[in-house]
Amino acid sequence: MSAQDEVIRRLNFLARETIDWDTVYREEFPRVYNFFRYRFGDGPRAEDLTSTTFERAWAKRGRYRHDRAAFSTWLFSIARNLAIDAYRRHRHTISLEDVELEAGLPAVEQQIQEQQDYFRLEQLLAQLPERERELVALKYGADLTNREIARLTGLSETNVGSILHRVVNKLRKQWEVTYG
Amino acid sequence: MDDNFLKQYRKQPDQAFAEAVYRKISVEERRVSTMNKLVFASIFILAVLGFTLGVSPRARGAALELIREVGGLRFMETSDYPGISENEEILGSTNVPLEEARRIFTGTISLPTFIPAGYNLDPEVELIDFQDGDLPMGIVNWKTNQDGKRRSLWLQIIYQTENVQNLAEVVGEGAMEEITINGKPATLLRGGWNYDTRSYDQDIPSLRIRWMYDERTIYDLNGSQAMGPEVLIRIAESIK
Repeated sequence: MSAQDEVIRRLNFLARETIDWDTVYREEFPRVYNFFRYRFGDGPRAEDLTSTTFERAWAKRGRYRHDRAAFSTWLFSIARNLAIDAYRRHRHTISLEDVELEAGLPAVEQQIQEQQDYFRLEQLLAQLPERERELVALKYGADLTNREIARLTGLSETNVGSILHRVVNKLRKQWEVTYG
Repeated sequence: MDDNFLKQYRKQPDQAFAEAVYRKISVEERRVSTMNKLVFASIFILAVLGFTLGVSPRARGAALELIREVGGLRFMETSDYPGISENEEILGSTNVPLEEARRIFTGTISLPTFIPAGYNLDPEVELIDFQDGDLPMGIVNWKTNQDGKRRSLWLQIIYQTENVQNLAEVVGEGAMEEITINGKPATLLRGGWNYDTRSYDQDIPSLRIRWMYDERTIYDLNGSQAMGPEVLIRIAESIK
C-alpha cells in the first residue's frame, strides 16, 4: 500500500467516523468480556479474546456502516467470529479439567457460595453443545436481546427464544441432579 | 435457576486489563487522529503535485482541462479514484493554543459566532505546513456527544502563498453544489472517496462548504450530512 493509499484509507475512516470510542468502550467492554467468560470460562482466554475484539473493531471501524446495523451488533459479530475460531482451535483439547484450570480452583478463602455456584455453572456450560453455549453467552453474558441474537446468528427471534428456554430448563435439571 | 440466576455471574473486567486494552487503542487513535486531518489536504494537493511535478506538458494540459471553477475555487471532477500517487509524504501537525495559532499562522483564523448547541471548541488548533511552508493550514475542531455518538465539526483554513499554483481539489462527479456564503461564491460538497470501493461515495455522511475567505485564504467547513446543509451554511455565514 502506498502512502497515498494510506491517506485515502484515512479519509474513508474520517468520513464515516461517528463512533464515540469512549462511550463504546465503557458500555460494550464489560458485555464483550462477559460474553467470552460465559463462552469459554473465567480465564485468560476471555481477556485475550476481549482485547482482540476491540483491537479488531478499531482496525476495521472504517467498514462499520451505522445505517446497516447497530454498533453493538457489529461489534458482537466480530466477537462471535473470534469465539468460533477459538472454539475450532481448541475443541479437541477442551475438557472439564481445562475448564477447571482456566477458572482457577477456588482458594480456601474464596469458597463463598457465589464463587462455588459460578464454578458449577461454568462446568455445566462447558458440557453444552457449541450453539447452545453461544446463545447462553450472548443472552446472559453479553445481555443481548433475543432480536439482537437473532440478527447475529441468523436464527429467527422465536427460535432463539425457544432454544434458550429449553437450554435453561436443561441447565436447571442438571443443576438439581448434580448439586441438589 | 432462572434468568436472574444466570445473569448474576457477570463481573466487571479487571481494571488493569481494561485500562491496558484502552491504552493500546488510544495510542493508535491519537496517531490516526492526526493523520485523519491531513487527508483532505493531501487530496486537494494531489492536483498541485500532479500538475507541477514530473508530468509531460501534454498530459498536464489534458489534466488541466478537467479542472473547473465552482464557487470561486478550482476542482478536478472525476470518477477515477485519486489514490494512485506515489511518494506522498504524510506530514505531522503541531497543536497550539488558539491565540498562539492566530499569532503565528500566516492567514486569518476567524471563528464562527454561531455553533449548534452541544458543540465544544477544542482549545488547540492544529497547524500543518505543506510544501515547505507554501501551503500552511490550520484546523479548528469542535466536538460533541449526542446519543452516544461523536459528531465532529471542524474548520480547515488554508493559506496559499504566491508559490502555489493550479491548486485544485479532486472530487467525485456530482458531489458539488454551487452556493453563496454571505454573498460570496462557495461550494457545498457531499460524500467522500471510499477506499473499499475505490470510488466517490455520496453515501459517506460527510458534508462541507468550501469558499475563499479572502484573496489567499480558503475556508473549508466540515460537518456531517446529519447536521444538514442549512445548519452548516448558517455556521459558515457567521464567520466574518
